[in-house]
Amino acid sequence: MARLFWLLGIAALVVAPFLVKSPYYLHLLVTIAIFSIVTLGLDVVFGYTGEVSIGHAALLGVGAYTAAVLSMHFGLGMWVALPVALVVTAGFGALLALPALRVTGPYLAMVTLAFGTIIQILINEMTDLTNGPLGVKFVTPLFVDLRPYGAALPLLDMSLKRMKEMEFYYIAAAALLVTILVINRVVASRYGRAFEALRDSPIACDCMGVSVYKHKVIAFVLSAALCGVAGVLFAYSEQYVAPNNFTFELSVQFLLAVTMGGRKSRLGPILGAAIIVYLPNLLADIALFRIVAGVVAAVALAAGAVSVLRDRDSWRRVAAPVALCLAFFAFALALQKITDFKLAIFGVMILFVVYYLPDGIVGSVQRLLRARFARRLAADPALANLPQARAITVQSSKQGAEMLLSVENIVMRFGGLKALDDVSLAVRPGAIHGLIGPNGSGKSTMMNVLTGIYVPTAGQVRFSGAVISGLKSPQIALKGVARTFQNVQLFGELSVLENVMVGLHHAYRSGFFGIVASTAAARREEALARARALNILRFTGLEALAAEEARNLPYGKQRLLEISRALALDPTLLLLDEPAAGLTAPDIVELVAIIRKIRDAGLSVILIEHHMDVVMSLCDTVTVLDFGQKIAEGQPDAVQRDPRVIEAYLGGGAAALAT
Amino acid sequence: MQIFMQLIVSGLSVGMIYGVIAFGYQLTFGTSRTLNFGQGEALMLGSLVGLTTVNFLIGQSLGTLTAYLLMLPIVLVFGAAQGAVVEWLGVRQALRAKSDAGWIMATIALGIIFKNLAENVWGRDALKFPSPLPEASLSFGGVRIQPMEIAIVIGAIVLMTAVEVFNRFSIYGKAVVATSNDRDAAGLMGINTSRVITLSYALSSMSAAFAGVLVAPVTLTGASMGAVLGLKAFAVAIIGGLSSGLGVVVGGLILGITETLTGYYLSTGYKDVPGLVLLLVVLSVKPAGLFGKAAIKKV
Amino acid sequence: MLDIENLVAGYGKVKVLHGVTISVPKGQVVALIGSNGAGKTTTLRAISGMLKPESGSVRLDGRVISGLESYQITRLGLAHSPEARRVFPTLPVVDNIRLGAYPRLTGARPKGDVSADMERNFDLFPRLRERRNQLAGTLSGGEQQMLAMARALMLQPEALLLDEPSMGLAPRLVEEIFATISRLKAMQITLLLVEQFAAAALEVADFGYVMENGRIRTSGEAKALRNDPQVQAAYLGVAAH
Repeated sequence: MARLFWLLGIAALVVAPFLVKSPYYLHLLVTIAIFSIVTLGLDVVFGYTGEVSIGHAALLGVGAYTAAVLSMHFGLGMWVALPVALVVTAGFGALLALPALRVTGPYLAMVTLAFGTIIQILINEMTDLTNGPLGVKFVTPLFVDLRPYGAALPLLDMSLKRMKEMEFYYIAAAALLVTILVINRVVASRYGRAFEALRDSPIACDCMGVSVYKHKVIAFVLSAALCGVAGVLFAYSEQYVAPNNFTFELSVQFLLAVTMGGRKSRLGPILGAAIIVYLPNLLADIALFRIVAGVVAAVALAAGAVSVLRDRDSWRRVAAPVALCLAFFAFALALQKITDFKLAIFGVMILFVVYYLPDGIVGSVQRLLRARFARRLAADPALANLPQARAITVQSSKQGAEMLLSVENIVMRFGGLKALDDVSLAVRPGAIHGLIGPNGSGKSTMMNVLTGIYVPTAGQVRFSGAVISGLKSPQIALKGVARTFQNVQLFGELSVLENVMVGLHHAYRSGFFGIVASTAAARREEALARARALNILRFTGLEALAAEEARNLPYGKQRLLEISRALALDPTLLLLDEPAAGLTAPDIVELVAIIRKIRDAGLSVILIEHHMDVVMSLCDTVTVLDFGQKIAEGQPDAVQRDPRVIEAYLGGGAAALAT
Repeated sequence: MQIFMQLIVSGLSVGMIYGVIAFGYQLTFGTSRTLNFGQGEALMLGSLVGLTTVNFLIGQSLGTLTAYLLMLPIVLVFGAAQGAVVEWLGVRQALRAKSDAGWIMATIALGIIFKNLAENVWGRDALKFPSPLPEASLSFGGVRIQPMEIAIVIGAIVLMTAVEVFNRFSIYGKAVVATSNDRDAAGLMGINTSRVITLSYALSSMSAAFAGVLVAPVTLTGASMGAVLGLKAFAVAIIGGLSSGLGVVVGGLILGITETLTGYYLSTGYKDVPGLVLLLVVLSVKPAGLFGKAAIKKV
Repeated sequence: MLDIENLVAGYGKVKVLHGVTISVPKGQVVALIGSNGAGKTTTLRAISGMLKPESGSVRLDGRVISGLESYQITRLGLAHSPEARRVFPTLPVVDNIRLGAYPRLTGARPKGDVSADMERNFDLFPRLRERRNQLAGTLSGGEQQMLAMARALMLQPEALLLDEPSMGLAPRLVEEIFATISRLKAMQITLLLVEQFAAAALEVADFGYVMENGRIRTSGEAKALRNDPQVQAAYLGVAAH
């Protein structure tokens, strides 16, 4: 279905210049194509990693001015400019990513804004290099001179100007198609999953060994490279560029395009680009503007009526946007000259989109039709039985004398507060080791120390002999320590299968270019990963839900998904942080069975829990913390009867109850 | 050496303006963890509304100084109202939806709308703002300073002190601080925290509007005066740390002086660059700012 | 005074309370005990408006308060000293306490004599008097707990919710806190006390409810519950003998 759609689209692209005779409208189409390349790149940063970037017009400018510099100072043309601009702008993207690494949200937005402003100033001021405010002229090249064949193709207008226009159109269209292809491949690969993962839960990402920093840089660099290509095309298409082509307002329009069109799609940014390119035309023709405003108002009324008929209570929600559309129509009727208000209208559109169309047009249509282009999840059965695709690949536990995990005299201080006070414990290979204690006793702190989220104030942690305290979370994860979280940290917008596949990142060998080129090795790795992920889901009983979005899962299944994802890391030690919290009784039975299966497969487990029945039935050894100190340790039934433990939980005088 | 001193003194008043705008960022960030990306436009609107009011009053045969003083409360009220509108339209819903991108884009959009409307009402050209104080520079040991520049420094300090006093001594001010510390716990005290947030936005825009009428007589005013100011003030807010009052004053002065020095020794075209570069550097190295405290991660 | 009926509440997907019914008569101390994760704190949050209940009702002196915002509920006379204290760290002790009387100072509740009440609170918690100008963030855990209680009392509430006052405190401080609660009881305060430490809570309460997995497992006179093996079972998973 999707394939048919794309074939039609390509056909339309090929045929368009023959149907669109007017050079003005053909140029418009070219601009839409060029801006689509920018918005598709922006979608990677905004739609996938979730960061607001207000600097993409500046990156477009970098590309355009690279072409300008090459043309003015070295006499080099478009074909040289394209690869050079790609590299140069990618470099600027990496530079932009540097401050972006440590910050997120509004700080990052400001960084991109500052960056964009600096670029504009530099272009303006470095007149020796860029000709400053005067701008730079370009001549659209002619690539293939078909005039000698004019006799054979009498239907076509063979003037030089027309040929240049059409050839350039095809170049731009080809660039757009290549962009779509590249983005499709990147987004469907582990990079796409990593982008979404770092947006949904950066901490979980780090604990899965997927570096948040590295992937943020990749997203920015990819996005910038595309802007570089678009910039060169833009320069040669417009035939003139000046610093005030690449303003903050243009960056905001790109954002509007992605949001309004629909993020995380290919069609959305293209649709959005078409809207922002065409909008000035729309606004120049007031009659047309009124018609469009009228149509929008009518659609809003209809959609509102349908929504209210379906669900009485929703009138309160739809009243405001419908009223807004009607008011906008009234405004359109009243207005005489609208080009002056172009930017204000953009502003209103942004407000509208932010509040009432957060999924964009494409996203809303998808939801309305309840159609989702189903994500591929069938796995090749031949692969499913390969040894590399086995759910758990740990060798059976060596019941040796050597401790798997050795926690030695850990002290954790936060300012004046001592959360952990000289705590030591040791986990035997193949054991399920319980860690219990009342609220605030330091269990979660210990968990965070073990996984590198906190660096201990004193003491050290040894894992399989090597010291891991002081290492960063991704490093510890890759050494074989995986964890789940007390407050579920799933990658909400990814599917169940994709969540597990993020845990499999560490096993990939193919690089970025392998994915873009879709080499056989890359494709095989991906298929193998998919098979393995499905096997893991089979192991934990979630196979049937593989295609569901993680955030739609019932709570009990979400917890199991976290465990599945942790298993994908090939861990030797699994840390479970209150896995039974909030679960119903049948869910808990399922959970206990799975933890037993995990231990039987050869993993060791540290289990923090409050549900005593779970702890008692599963654990070989239990350590009890209270006020950051270890107060008891031993077999579960002994600990349960230990008067110090009873006192810690129930309070003074309760020890008498134990008899 | 004298030129150097002159540049420092000139940088002071500019720096205080940045400080006041940055102060506005702190007010809203404290209570709601959001800020107004259109803060520069709040300043611009304040100065243009002030201009119209002052010109009107002068037309009624009032002296410039009297007109200016009468205009001040009007602009302050206008600024507060504009801030409340921004909060209501731009921030409230996004806060409920817990979406960062939402209020970022909404406040940007509102800034664009205000700027476009201003362009249509007041035109795109730079306008002269009548100065309430004599324009002739005073001279202190060879260093020249305009009376208005002194007024800027005093005005900025008065405003920020007034808000600090409010926070420290009135129960409502303490309610604002409580909301900044812990919104849920503040609700348990019977404090209507939504209203506190609206108030903080009103105060924030009011500060920006006030800064607008302070700086307008010294430079020119016009629809595009807010554009880069908001960004540079953010740099100051970051340098100073988004929770430290003294930090923004120090940060503002640092930036103001650096700018005048750059403008002279390098070129006026590059004047805006140091602030922006400073922003990038500070965010790369110490995101909590020079005066701020890093937060402990909680999982 | 405070009547909770069939309260159902949770956080997004996770339903924590499955129909809780509790009654706190005027002038009595009621203890709500149970192990961690049982839903005790969630119950208090659903009562005071920090969390909106999905269904069920909460009545304060006959008036329905479930569904209102937390600041509205406070203004009607329900004070809540939350889990983990949550004092305002950048304000001094005296301001923290004063803010407890915010609805009285701003006209939402009868004003009375705020200064006299502050003095009375300092009598109840002498250690706070010593530190009246110290920033609340620099106080120790025990002192913060006292501050949170003093702050809640400043409302002159019809009913008071106390969430885990003993949490994170050394045993000696816990004794002190519970001694204070006894004094409050003598002052005829209406109190719903959530505690993990069953023994101490049942010692000071008139009536007790035992919560497990979001439901009331058992309830009764505090004295009777103290010797009930079901209580220990609820905490330590030990089968009742």
